[in-house]
Amino acid sequence: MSEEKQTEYVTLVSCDGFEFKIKRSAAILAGAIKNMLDPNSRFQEGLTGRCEFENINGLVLDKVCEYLYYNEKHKDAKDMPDLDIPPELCLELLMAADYLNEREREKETNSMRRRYDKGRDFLATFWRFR
Amino acid sequence: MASPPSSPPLAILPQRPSNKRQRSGEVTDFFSSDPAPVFSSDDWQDASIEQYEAPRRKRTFRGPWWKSCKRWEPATMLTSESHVMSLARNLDSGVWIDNDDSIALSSSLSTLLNGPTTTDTSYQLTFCPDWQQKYPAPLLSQAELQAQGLVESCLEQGTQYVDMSNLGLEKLDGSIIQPIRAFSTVPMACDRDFRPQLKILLSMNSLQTLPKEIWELNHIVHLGLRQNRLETLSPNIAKLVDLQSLDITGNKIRWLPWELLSLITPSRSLAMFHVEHGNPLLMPFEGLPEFPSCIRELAIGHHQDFVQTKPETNSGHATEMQRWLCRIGETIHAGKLYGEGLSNSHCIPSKPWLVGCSEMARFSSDGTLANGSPIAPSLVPLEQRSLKAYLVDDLPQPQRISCSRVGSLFELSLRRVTALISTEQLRKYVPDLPEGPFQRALTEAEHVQADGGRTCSVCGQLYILPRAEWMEFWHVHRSGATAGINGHLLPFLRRACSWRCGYTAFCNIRSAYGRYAAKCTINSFP
Repeated sequence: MSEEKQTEYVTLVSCDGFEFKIKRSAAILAGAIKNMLDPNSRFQEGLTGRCEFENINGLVLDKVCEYLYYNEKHKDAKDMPDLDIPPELCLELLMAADYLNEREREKETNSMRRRYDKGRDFLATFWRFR
Repeated sequence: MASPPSSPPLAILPQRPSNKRQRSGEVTDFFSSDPAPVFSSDDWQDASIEQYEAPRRKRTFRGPWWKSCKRWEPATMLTSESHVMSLARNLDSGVWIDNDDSIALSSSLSTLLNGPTTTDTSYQLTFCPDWQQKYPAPLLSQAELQAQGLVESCLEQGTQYVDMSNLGLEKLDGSIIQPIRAFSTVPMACDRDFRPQLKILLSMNSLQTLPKEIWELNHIVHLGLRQNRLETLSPNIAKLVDLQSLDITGNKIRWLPWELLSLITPSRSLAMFHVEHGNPLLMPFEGLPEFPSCIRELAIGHHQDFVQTKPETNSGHATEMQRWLCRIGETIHAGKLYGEGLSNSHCIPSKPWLVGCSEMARFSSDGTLANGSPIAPSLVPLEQRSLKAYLVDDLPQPQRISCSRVGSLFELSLRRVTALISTEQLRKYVPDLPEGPFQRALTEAEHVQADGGRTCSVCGQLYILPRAEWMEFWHVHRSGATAGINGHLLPFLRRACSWRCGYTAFCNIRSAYGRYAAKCTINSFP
């Protein structure tokens, strides 16, 4: 697929069915999403411009998108305001960020997914405790 | 004739408790809000006529009031299982969340009641039986207790010289150091200021880390850390702006924090510091201990002839090393020419000069070394004593990096998580977090917290995981050492919060050198 045919917006889908349409330029700042959307990688996502995350729920993915725009906006800024992360989301966001990093590093989905699922179980335990 | 419907039975009203005083000799309700008798001679029991027959026992109270509340034994609380359960729920309600004040309170209370080392539950602790297992009061070792005594006596006598050397300390709790903050002196003459000039000696111990509280004592003038087991020196040492002399010989220190340079500039007072003896410092070459004698010749002015007159034949690094020596000679020479900060007869500039630099190592967002990055100075194995470095003039142009200064999502959320809950708690509640980088990042965050936070050396932002680091070799002049020229090359580790920051810093170094080449004067330190 040539460069011109790429859409300007891409769709990120959470596990509970929420769809987020964000700019491609912002989305590819996250290495994992960039890999998924790379037309040369022969992932299906690269052709359709639609990434589905089976492990990230809508709330967290919303925050991820906010971060991507925040990142793009303050690309060249020296003093940027802090991204507001609500306390109840921060641990899940940390897990999601780790997951996205993993994808970037290994490009091997199964083991990561298992790890992420493991992480989610702990999260559930954790919030029950809280 | 229909009878009227029967009215419902009368409700059985609970019997109202009588307002009359109980005449029995026993007081059954121990939890009553009746004020306790104030004086020992007060009539505790009712002094009615009936009571006159019975012999009255005079009650005496001895000790502080809280010790007289004997009925609130923790043992009785523990027997009722349901009570413990309901309390256990409350413990997580956020009231007892890791809070310095509450821990300090409990420790001070337990100290007040029982002395610091006993494990007896105190008055405060009876409310939550497992309080102490959760947040143990800092148990101080014998050596630490001794140190605490020393600090207290110094504070009482107003001595500014706190000598805690040779106590066999293996760790130093922050609560020992903290009281010194309150120290203030009364000046003898009017023109003196109230700022104390603290001298703190911790030499000849076995310390591996220092508490972060020590970096908050910004009136330290002398800090002696000789003969310990320190592996790194915290960048927060830059907060000690009044520091005049620092002794860190005989440790396991491999590099100094870059932030320390801000104390060595002539505008600051740190003039004496002893580093190189007994520390395995990372150097660009193995054979640098003989450095000073070579530089002496150079300083006289023959540095241009040095390469011809004194060829090093047996070492592979000979030519490279000679270039380094020449550069140092040049800096000394330039200092002599421009008369900048000359120290007595040796003609050495007192300003630090950047001589060389290692390549910038890049880390990915979770703290592991990025693909294609050169080796990070902090990851150099212990047995290796040298690190590949370049002179400033042939420093390779770093790759153009266009990514933003914004921290990664991982970094941002890690910062938020560690601000909310301590890593220890996180590990306890979430026992098996995913292994690998995640765990390492948490450990790192723990270190950073214990150390009192990190700021980027380029943009000054707070961060946890460094994204770029490199070693800078500075030629630093120090007085107070042994005879001769004692300017030495010292390694300073510099860290940045993003690749962009690292790139900016590298470009600055190069342009500063360009200015030097043009004007024959190095002024690369801001």
